[in-house]
Amino acid sequence: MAQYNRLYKAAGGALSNELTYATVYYFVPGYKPSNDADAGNVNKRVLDGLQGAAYDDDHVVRLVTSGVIDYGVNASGPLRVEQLDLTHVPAHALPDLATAIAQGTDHFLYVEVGPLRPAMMVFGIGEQK
Amino acid sequence: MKVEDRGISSVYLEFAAAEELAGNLTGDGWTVEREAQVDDNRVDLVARRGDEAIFYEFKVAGSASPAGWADHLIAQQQLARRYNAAFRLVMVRPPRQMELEIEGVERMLFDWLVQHPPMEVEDIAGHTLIDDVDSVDLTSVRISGTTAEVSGEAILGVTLQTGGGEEIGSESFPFTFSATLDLATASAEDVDVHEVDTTSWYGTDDQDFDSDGPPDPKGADINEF
Repeated sequence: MAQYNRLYKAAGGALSNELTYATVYYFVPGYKPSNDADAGNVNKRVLDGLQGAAYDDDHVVRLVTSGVIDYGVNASGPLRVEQLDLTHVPAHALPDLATAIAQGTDHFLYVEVGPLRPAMMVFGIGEQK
Repeated sequence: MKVEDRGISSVYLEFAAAEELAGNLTGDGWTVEREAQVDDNRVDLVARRGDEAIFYEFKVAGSASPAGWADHLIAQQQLARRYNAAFRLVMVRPPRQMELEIEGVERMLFDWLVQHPPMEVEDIAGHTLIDDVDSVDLTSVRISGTTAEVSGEAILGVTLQTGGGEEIGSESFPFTFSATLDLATASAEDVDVHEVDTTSWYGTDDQDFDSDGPPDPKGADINEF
């Protein structure tokens, strides 16, 4: 848990008790449900782990987007694609993310935390194309 | 047989994924441009629909990334944002590598070839005895019910004899084939031998000065058989 605190501070993150959004993506090559954490478990650990660094109590986190991104050579079944929308990845974070993807890093987390803004609560995302 | 998708180049996989995505986007009313030139940059795929635009970059998961690919990705994102376009990375995930074996395929081919020896090896000596079929490497397999249509290459082991039954020696000849196998009875229904490589017996042209029979340095003469 202390690891998340340390990484957050190292990335220049500051403590705030504003209402917060969080995005947690877990990159796993060849995801195995029996071995790998699911999206819910991952974000719970991360959000708990950020207490004391990003906020005092994780009750300020009112919006969480979390996902497991199964990437790597060994997909099951036929040729598959995963589309990642990187349009708004902050400039200071994209180099690390791009490098991790390029190197095929085994298991890594992408975490964003920031102030909750209006209209971040989006409904019907399944309708978007 | 290895179903070796890693042997297919990353370029091909990216091309296949881009083709599929382009088809889907077109079906949804997008105008698609592949390998689009945008300023001084080449974008793998650009899709436009009304005021919307999406720039796509394709990457085969786990493939070696060329030096500077991370910088390239950053540049592509910045380019897309300058054009008020979305930027998407398409991770292409090749199918799992599989190994497929047909148990007893050597025996099935052997049983057939004993009955139907290839002409190339029959012509070598007075008598050609088929000893075994080994090192079968299937390059394609199509299975329907209990029938398998296969093709590949293998090694044919033979014993050569004179017309009088005197043994000349043993040889191994690589050959290519296609075959129809009955998996229920573990037998070949048909085997078509495409080519038998007999250069180990005849030698190559530069070894065989009279272009007839085994290599001259061996001193053998098929006319004696």
